[in-house]
Order: sequence, then structure tokens, then C-alpha cells
Amino acid sequence: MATQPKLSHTTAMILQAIDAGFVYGFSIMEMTGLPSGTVYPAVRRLEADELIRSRWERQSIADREQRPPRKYYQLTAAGRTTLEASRKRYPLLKRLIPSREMKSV
Amino acid sequence: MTRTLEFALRTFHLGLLRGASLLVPRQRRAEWSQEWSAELWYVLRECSPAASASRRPVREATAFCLGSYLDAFCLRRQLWQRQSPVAAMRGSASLCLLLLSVLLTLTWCVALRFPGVRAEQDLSRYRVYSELMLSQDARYEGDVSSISPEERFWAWTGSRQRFFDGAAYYRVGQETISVVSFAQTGWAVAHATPNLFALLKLPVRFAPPPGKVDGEMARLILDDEIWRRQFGANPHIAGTVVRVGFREVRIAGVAPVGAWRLPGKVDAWLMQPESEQGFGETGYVVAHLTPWGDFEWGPRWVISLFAMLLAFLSLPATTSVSMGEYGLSSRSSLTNTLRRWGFLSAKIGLLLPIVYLASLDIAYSCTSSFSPQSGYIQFASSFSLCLFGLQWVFRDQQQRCPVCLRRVAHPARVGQLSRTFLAWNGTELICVAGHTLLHIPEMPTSWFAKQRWQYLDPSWQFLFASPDPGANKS
Repeated sequence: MATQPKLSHTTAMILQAIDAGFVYGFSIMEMTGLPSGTVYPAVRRLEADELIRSRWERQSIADREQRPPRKYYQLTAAGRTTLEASRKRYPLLKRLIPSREMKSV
Repeated sequence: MTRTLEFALRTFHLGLLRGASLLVPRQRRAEWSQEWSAELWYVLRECSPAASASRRPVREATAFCLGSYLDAFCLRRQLWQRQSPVAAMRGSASLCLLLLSVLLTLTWCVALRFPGVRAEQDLSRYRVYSELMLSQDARYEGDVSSISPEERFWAWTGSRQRFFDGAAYYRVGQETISVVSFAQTGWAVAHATPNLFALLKLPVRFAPPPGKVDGEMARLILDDEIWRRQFGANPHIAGTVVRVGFREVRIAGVAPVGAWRLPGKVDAWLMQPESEQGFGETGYVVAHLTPWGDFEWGPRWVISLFAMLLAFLSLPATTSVSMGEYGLSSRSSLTNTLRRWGFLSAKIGLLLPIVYLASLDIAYSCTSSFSPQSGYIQFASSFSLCLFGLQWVFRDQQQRCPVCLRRVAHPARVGQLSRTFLAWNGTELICVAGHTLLHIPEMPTSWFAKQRWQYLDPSWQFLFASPDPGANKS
């Protein structure tokens, strides 16, 4: 059995941002304040480790709103488990990036 | 911001992304470009309306685009780690031996570039015996600054020498030979100084006793093949008069078969005094080295071998050669023990020729040809390279898992210096395949002086993923 990957604080923050609903590259950058050179490589590694998966937005939706289609990211089951472990390791993570439901409360 | 400027900036940013896309592996390039172009569109939309007069949005968009290069590198590295056998071999014993072999080949190739090294290899051409040295006119090799054979010959014979106690000269040319018994024929005749055969310590067959030698006429020594072919192997050939060109000479003997190993195919040697020598540009000067001269280094490999021996003796004083209870564990099988020692021997076996060739490279890169200085340089460089090389070999071996011979990784500092005498304080490294744990004490104590290996039993395996270098990188 493979052990759970231990995430750095930055990577955990990106995972938390995706979980919180910031599901494409630029929104993750805006939320975390991290530069593109950090966010996108981290996202690639998370995807390679199968903690997140990506999907392209349908072209028809993008066309309707007259913008290019986005690539969306979402957590896998393994990503969710790893995020839970990371939240225990970094207790302030949830406060730094609250999920959208918590924000609306 | 004018539309023209906006267009120019957009083109500039897309150009940056296009440049980065060239770094992305081809199979993922299209999707990668699509994502970054789309993201750039959102970045520009967010940035531009807010501060049209400021340069900040442009800087932000440029910084965003520059980040794409890091992403491209990341993707390329990921693909390399997945596909390259070298990435999978990282830290393994095979990779270590492969790199040493490459280094050996490299030093060999560099060594072959130096004429001095090539001359060392070509013993039959340049150094007939260990006490002889041969010098060809360097102008013949294209070096215009060197001295001629004549100047070299007179310099070596006319002044008090530290290195040579005798020198001879010869040059090979085609001559017409006339003998009563056969018609005129062309031979390759070596015009040599009278001491050539004595210097080379070559015997001359059928030579008349010294008292019966005619001092008036020049002497001619025949090659064995010519003697058999032209004179029917006549044992009474000595004393026969032949004409070489326009000059009458007396045959003084026959050189034994295969005795001549210096450059030039020679049918006969015409012994002429130095005053009658027509020193040519393609002649050779042969010198006999004094037994106490500075050239008493011996063959090149002996210099390196002696330096390596000294390095081996100095090694325990400079680094720890302990393997950290390598062979004492009950978990260590005979096969593993043999593999470890085989690997160590292979590393040393590859290191020694690397040191020898590298020392030759250094010596001949500092001096152009065979000289006493090159001997000193080779000795010093052999010793230094061998000492540092052996230090690396042993340190590398100390950090290789006794089971799989991979280098242990992920160093972790454990304990505190202030608690050295109460608890464990040092560094722990782990085998990525989960075979062993290496404990290295920060400060040697009476109860923990040297590094120790801890073999991990199968119950530890759940902690380890497969030793795929791409795994657990986040």
C-alpha cells in the first residue's frame, strides 16, 4: 500500500482552494496570491499524483458567454483524504481559504 | 491605451507563451497552449480595465506569462521521469558504474588528443628501449618554431648533459648501389653517425675484428633481407667494396633479423662521421638516457601506480573507510555481501584507469612532449585524483543500501546536540525501496561511534510506495 503523500503548505493551500470552489488556474492564483509559476506546476503534480482531475468546459457554454473555455479541476477521493490529513497538519488552512458554503454563512 | 499598443502587448504575451510551449513535450503541447491562452485571456480581462493608465496590468500579465516557463519545465521533467530509464536508475549502482565508464571513455578520448600520450602508447616507434629516446624533426610535424635535427644533435652531443650520455643521428634516403655481381639497384640507405649501432646496442654479424678495419673507407652494414637476397647469404661478405651513389664503401657486416625497430624501412646503414653528414629535415636523433637522469621515472603507468599506492596508504588518515557494520548483520545474505564488495571493487577498478588517464591528460596539457616536468605533474595529479576519488568511492559506498545498493535518501535530523549523551542525536537516511535505515551520529560517542544500518522487516513495507522516482513528489 502506498503511503499518503505529504503535501507542502503551498500545495495544501492549492488543494484547499480547489476544494473551496476555486476550480481553475487563474482563480486559484487570485485566491491564494501565489504566482502562476507556482500554481500551475503544483497543479500538474497534484494531477500526476491523482489527487485532482481536470476537465475542459464545454465549448457551447464558453461560446454563449463569448469567452474561451476553461479547464476546471476537482478533487478525487484520494485528494479529499489527503486534504483532510493536511488540514490536521496545517490547522489554519481552513481559515485561510474558507469553502464557499462557509463563506455564505 | 491605444488599440495598437494593446495589440502589440497581446502579441508579445502570446509570443512568450508560444516560446514556453516549445519546452512542453509535443504530445501535451496543444492542450497546454490552449489552457494558458485561455487563462491569459482572463488575466488580461481582469487587469486591463482597472488601470489603463498604469503599467501594472502589463507587468502582471507579463509575470503571468513568464510563469508558463516554469510550468513547461515541470511538465518536461515529469515526462522525463516517467519515460527515461536514467531517471528510474537514479541513485542505483548501475547508473554509478555507467557514469564511471563514461568518464573513463572521456578521459581516454582526451588523452588520445595529446601527441605526447600517443607517443607513449607507440613504444615501438618512439622508445625502443626504456633507456632510449627518439627525436624526430618537429618541422616535419608542422611545428615551425622547433629546432632542426642537426641543431638538436649538436646540442645534445656538444654540451654537458644531465639527461643523455650519448646521441646518434640517422636519415633514410634512396641511393643507387653498384656491385660487381649485380647491376645497379636502388636501396633505402640510412646515413648514420658511426655510433648508431653501439648506442642501440645492436650486434653486427660477420664484422671484422677492430684491428682489421680499413679506416679510409666508410662502412656499410647490410640488412639481413638484402644480404640474403642480393648476396646469397654469403658469410664472407665483410670487406666487399660496393658503390653507394658515387662513393665507394666497404661492407662491415650484417644486422640481425628484426633488430631494427626505429622509424624507416632500411636496406643498409652507411656509417659516416658527423662532419660528412648531410643533416636533412626528416632525420632522427636517438639519445641514450643517463641512468641517474631525471627521466628515471620509468614507464608512465609506474608513476601513476606509485602515486596510487601512496594515495591508498594515505586514505585512512583522511577519511573513514568503515562500512558501518556492513557485513555483520544476520539479515545480510552471502549474495548481498558479494554484490556489495563486487560493486566496491568495480568502482575502484574503474577509478584507477580514470586516474591514470586523467593524470596523463593533465601532464600533457601542461607540457607539450616527454619531459621531466610532465613526470612530476603526472605524479602529483595521480596522487590527488586517486586520493579524492577513493574518498568519494568509500563515502558513496557508506551511503548505499546494503540490500539494493541504491543511495539512501531523505535525510532527517533527529535529536538535539545538547542531549547527545542522553539520547540519539544525528541524521537518519532511508532507502527509497524501504530495505534499510541508516543512522549517522552527529558526534561520535563511546556508545555510538560509527554509522549503523537498521534492516527494516516486511512490516514496514506499508509505509513505502514503489521506488518510482515520480511518486510522492508533491
